[in-house]
Amino acid sequence: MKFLILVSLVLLSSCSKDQDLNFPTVGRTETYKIFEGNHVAAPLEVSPIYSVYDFAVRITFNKAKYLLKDENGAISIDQQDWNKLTGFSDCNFYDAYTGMGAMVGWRWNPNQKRIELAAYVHNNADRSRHVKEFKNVYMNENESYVFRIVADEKQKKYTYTIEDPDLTSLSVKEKIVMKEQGNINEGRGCKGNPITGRLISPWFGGTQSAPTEIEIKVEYLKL
Amino acid sequence: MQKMIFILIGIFINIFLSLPSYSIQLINYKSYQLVVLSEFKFAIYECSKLDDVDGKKSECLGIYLNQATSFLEMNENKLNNIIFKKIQNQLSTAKELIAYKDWDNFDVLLKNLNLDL
Repeated sequence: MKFLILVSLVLLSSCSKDQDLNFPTVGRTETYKIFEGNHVAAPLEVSPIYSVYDFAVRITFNKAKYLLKDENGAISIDQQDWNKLTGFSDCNFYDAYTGMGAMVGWRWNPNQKRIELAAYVHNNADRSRHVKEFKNVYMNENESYVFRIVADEKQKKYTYTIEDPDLTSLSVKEKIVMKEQGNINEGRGCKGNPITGRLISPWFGGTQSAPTEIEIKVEYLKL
Repeated sequence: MQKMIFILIGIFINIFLSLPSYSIQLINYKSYQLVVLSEFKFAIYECSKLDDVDGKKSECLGIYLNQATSFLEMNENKLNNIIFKKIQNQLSTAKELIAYKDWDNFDVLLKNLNLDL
């Protein structure tokens, strides 16, 4: 009998959630600034995620236009690098830039004068990065869209959607699925668990640091 | 005795089926802290390279140092007390040096800044 009670207590204590991880997240709006010459955004995003499959944010670019030049003064090839907008690390990794995680990529296209967007996944298994560009949705400064990333419980898969900023309509503008296909895993590095990691700060680059100040507003809707 | 065993099994089944929180994956807290503090360190180094003519360097450093202090205080009960006090003192001194724009001594402090746990 005593043994059973002991086992009960051990099992219950091993299942308990860490109550100290009390970070206010849902409903929070944060404006991130990337200073000229930096890669990392201020403030740094440190909030953990550990219990959901569904991630949704409303994004507004306050300042997004930039021009990266090469030594001859022409537009640099680095202009095509993907900057990281938001997202999360996953599968018990806490550094999504080198570990595992799902992010939204963005870059300013100076010729088309628009912000291009992409699904951007890091997979630590083979140190690979997988990018698929959204082909129908583009943004500009002061426009807003909702970005949703759903982690699949049973498959190594993320489903990205871009939706209208007004959540009542919930109209999906474009969808991209990132998943395991044969030997290539463009999706989640794990399955069977909710997203476990932390939120990712916006990051400029790419190779070069921000040539001018960047400002992005993120409203955390679902976590 | 048998009845007690059935009651206990019943309680377990009830707990595991009725509470969704028990499917929560646990955070590896130590890894999480280490990564976050190393990112603060990187961010502080990035800001220290900025020009302070228009106050950007002070602004940038101020944001991260205040945030790192809050993160540290929020996690005080999870850190070794001596390490906590050491990091807290370094961050506090760094903020004072920024306020006085004493960049020479700030650079010395930065070289010795150790946010490792």
